[in-house]
Amino acid sequence: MAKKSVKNVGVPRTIGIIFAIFLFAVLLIVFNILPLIEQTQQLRDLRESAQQYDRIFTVLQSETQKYQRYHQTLLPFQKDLDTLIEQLKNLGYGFTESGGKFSFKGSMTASHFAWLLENLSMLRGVRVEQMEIRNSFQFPIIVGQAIQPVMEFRSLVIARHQANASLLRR
Amino acid sequence: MVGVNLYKRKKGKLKITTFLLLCIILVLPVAAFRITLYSIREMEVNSIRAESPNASRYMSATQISDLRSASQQLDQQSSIMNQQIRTLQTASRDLERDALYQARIQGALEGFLDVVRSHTESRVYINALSIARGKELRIDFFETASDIEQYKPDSLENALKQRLQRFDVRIARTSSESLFYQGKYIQLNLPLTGM
Repeated sequence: MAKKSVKNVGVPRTIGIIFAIFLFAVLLIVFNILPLIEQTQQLRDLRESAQQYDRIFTVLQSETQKYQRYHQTLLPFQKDLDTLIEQLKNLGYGFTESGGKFSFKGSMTASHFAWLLENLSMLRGVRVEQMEIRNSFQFPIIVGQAIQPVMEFRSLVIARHQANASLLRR
Repeated sequence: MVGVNLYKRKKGKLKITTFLLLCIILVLPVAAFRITLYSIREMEVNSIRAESPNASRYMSATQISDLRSASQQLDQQSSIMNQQIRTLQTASRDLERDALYQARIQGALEGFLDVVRSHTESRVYINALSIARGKELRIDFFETASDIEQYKPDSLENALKQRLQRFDVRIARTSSESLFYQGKYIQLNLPLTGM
């Protein structure tokens, strides 16, 4: 009678079960637990970043509106300085411009000076940064005589409010 | 009959198919939990979007699949906005300071001119005028009588003091002696420190 050999093919039960559990544990750690920890942290970061973004965005909006209000308030007076300089140039007084500021040095008649002073006290778009005037005469007027004094400008620097529209376009 | 265990020494084995089936069965919860993780992530992202509507608008424009890069982009954008806030605040502060300074100068000049114009019995001659931002505004002037009968020596001085009171102005008669008939030399000082 021929001997019949039965091959016991398969994985040893204990090793197989241990391996399967080990595989399960590894997969659980690699695909579930580690991503869960990482995802929790990333979601927390995202939440914080989003909240911070919202807070800053609100502040930016409020600051932009504030600046916009200033800008709109000043807008109608933007031409004041140009008009004044133009008028003074027409009267024969030369101004030099540097960095948005206009400077003048020299003599001016008393009537022109009075007119300029009036404008400087009135025009909202013009700001006097510096002014130094001396009367050319130690005693300008002798009572009863019509001597027109000349005002000597040692310095006059006038400027306008610099509301920059480009700041609002960002 | 005697029961003989012929497989007494035989080691228990799992069939390959059984083993593979076992592995597959154990992998299933891992896969299921993985899918749950994705769902939780989506829910959380939606909740963040609902909580922060402004950030949500920015996030929708950017790729959200990578949470880390999404929060990095938000941080970067926040930093850019912070810079813009600082620039706007500086510009607004400068405008406020300029406006306050201008209001002070114009208020003082306007007040001075109004008082001088309304006092027709006096005649004023400006001898020196200086404005230095951050220091002071100073006007030195002579006052003489144009209408001797109506002229009151302290009237103009008092009117100026009253009109320019809110500007903390100092008005002083530096010399009562003058070449002018009933005239005097007056100095007006308006502090502009810190402006």
